[in-house]
This record gives sequence, C-alpha cells and structure tokens, in this order.
Amino acid sequence: MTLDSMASAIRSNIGTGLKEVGNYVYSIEQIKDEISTTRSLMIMQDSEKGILNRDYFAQKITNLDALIVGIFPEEGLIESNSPALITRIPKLAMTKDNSSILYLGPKDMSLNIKTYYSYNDVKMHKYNRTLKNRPFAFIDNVHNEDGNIPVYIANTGPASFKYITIRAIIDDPVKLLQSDGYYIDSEEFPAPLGIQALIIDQLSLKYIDYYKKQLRPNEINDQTDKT
Amino acid sequence: MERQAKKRHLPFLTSKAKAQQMYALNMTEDDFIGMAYDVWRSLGNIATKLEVYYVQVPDDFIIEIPQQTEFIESVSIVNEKSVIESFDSGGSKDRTIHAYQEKSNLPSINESITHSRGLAVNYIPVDNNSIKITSPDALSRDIKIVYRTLDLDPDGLPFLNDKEVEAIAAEVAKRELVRKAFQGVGIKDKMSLELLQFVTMEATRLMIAAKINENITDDAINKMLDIQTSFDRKQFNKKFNFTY
Repeated sequence: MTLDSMASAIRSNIGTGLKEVGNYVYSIEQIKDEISTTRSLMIMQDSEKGILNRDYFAQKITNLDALIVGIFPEEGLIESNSPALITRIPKLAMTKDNSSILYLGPKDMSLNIKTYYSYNDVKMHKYNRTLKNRPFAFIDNVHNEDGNIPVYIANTGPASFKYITIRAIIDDPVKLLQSDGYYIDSEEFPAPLGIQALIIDQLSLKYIDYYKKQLRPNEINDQTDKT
Repeated sequence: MERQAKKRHLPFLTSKAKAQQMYALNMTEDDFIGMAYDVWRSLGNIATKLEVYYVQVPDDFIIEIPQQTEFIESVSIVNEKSVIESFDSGGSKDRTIHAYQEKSNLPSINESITHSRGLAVNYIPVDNNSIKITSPDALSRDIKIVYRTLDLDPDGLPFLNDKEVEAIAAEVAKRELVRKAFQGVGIKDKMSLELLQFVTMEATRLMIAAKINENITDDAINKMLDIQTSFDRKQFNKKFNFTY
C-alpha cells in the first residue's frame, strides 16, 4: 500500500467509527506522520519478541551527501591519525540490538563496514584482535540541527571512496519518502502488508478512542436512559 | 597434533556459511570474524606450517621475519662450509646419524626439519614480528630461522577442517544467542532459553570433538608412545626437540 492510501484508509475508518460526528477535522498530514511513529513503535516493541524480519522494513538510500574529510567529534576517540570520512544519514529506528543498519558501505555492496553506535564501543575498536585494521563506522545518534545524524568512517585506507550507500530502517520513513526530491503519491510504504494493516488498525482505533474518551461533549445527567 | 590431520582446506568463512545454514545466524562478516577467530583460538588447534628463512644477521642484530610468526622453532648459524654437527631428533636409534655431513639446505628424508644443524643462536623476540639476535658472534653470518606460521586462506584467515567448521558454527551461534539475551532481544520468548540449552550442549560437544584429530595413524600413536619411552634421548650439549 502507498502512504496516501494508508492515510486515506485510516481517515475513512475514523469517519466510520465516529459516525462522522461533528465537524471534527482530521489532518491527513498528521495521520501520515503518525503512520511513521506507529511503525517505529512496532519495531521498537518487537525487540522483546523478535518476530519481525528487519529486511522488510529497510529503505535504500543512495543519494547521501558525498563524504567529506574531517575529524572525529572527540579527538580522544581514536588514536589513529587517519582522518575520518563524514556524511550524514536520516535518524535510525531504535532497536535494542542496534540492528537498524543492514548495510553501510560502498555502492557496489562489496564491503559492509562494521558499525558502532556508542562511544564505549568505538573506543575499543583498536583492541579488536582481527578487525583493528578494518574500516569501521561510528554513528552518532545525537542528531544535527537538520535532524540528520552524522556518520564517521575511519580506517578506510588509501583506496578510499567518495559515496556510500545505506540500507537501513529509518525512523521516519515518511519524511524520507517525501524528502528525496521525487516524491510521488504512489510511493510504497516500507513495511509488509500485514504490518500496514496493523498500523491502520491501531491508528484508527487510537483516534476513535481518544475522541470518545476525551473529546466527548459534556452531557448533562438528566436521569434518563440514553440508549 | 595437527601434523597427522588431513590438510586443512576449508576457508575460514565456511563456518559462517555453516552457521547460516544450521542456526540461521545473521551476522555481518566483520562481526562474525571477530567472534569466530576467538572461538578458533580457544579450540587450540593452531594449525601451523613450517617455514624456513635464511638471512644474514645485520649490524643492528634485528631481523624481521617475513610472515606473521606463531612460534619460532630454532635459530641457528648455517654458513659452515665444511662440516657441521647434527643431532638426529627423529627418534630412531639404529639409523645412520648424519654427523659431520656436508651442509645442505634440503632436509633429508624422514628427518624433522624443525631441528636444524648448526650452532644455535640466542635471540629475543621484539616488536613487529622481529627477533633480536643476542649472540655477538653471529654478526653478519648467515642464519637459518625455522618458524611456524598459520596456514591462511585467501581472506587472510586460517584454513579449517570439517570438525572445526562445525564447532565454530555452533559456538558462534551460542555466543550470539547469549549476546542477544544480554541485549534484551527475545527475552520474553521461552523458546530462546531452550534453544540456548540446546546450542550450549551442541557447541560444547563439537568444540571438544574438534580438538581431536580427524584421523590418528598408527605411526602417530607410535611416536606418541616413543616420547614416553625413550629415556636416553637427551644428550649433553645437544638440542632436544620432540617430534611427535
């Protein structure tokens, strides 16, 4: 299903559930945003159960900014003199085992660069017996002013590359769908149909529930049977 | 005991393919290598091959060995033109002992090349896969270094045999399951505890099995017994190497 058809389905469900009461306005943009957050919630909650296959939620981003040569955010992080290659990626979905990046590396998929997410981990890279000379990436989950998060790649050696591709579970897929410059209404939503059905269900129920619980007009208790 | 085993011929990442096949392990290559190499080390089967390196001792006495060395068997002076002493470490007493033999770079048949003829040279290991010769009289003389390196596949990782492949696959699957449990993934799933018990047993069994040779020949058993029975092998002022 495309994002628009999902939003439309939710909008229609809410209308049915509330019997189109009043003149309540449902912003289709807000519904689209909440589709994103519900998907993120589902991925996060799955950590304890481990049912979902992450590959089916991934988005591939090939038009990332070119890597620029820079330094690590903190000088003491790595002792290597080799500079870091820096680019930025959209925020990643939170998973307990840090599995939201499925691939990060050159475009030809030849090298899946080992990825670290925390300062503690990246500092220990040099003590890794077999991998200390291999390239590694550090993803700083603290986002920039533009909402993206920086990626630092080190140990790439002299034969370096200029662009990277990622396949990852992006926290806000809708934002990415809309921001890549060629967004069209028929763009597919990155989740399996079953999950899309769950999202539609949950969101519809949520809206109806909220409305019935909280937006219900005050009714005077006049001791008569309302049913 | 690696000497008697079939030559290791499976590339290291065969164990990853096996783990994917048997335990649905989904790890990146780097993560797998980092974990599996430790497992391989803990197996203890450091399958090495012998290498010989002839070199002239430089002025600073520091010699860099060309390949990554696991063990150094011997360092000795070889440039004696006339005769050199030899000591047969093969264990057979009635064979002609090659004492005072013309020096040849080729080891004679059935003789251990881990023992080199010639005067032993003292050395200490220093950084960067190098040794420092501490015998002053070895300066600018040709020496022979017999050392053991790992038998590496095209990826630069050690070759494995079939039992090691199975053991590494199971052990990595176990460690990954434990790691996931610590991360809190799948802890609400009761199956994962049972799986952990299953894979722990499986990994322990396979790890123990992998420490034993695939095949021990009669000759190998003979040699093992020889080690205990030859009480007079040690001779004064001679080098003494076990050649099991």
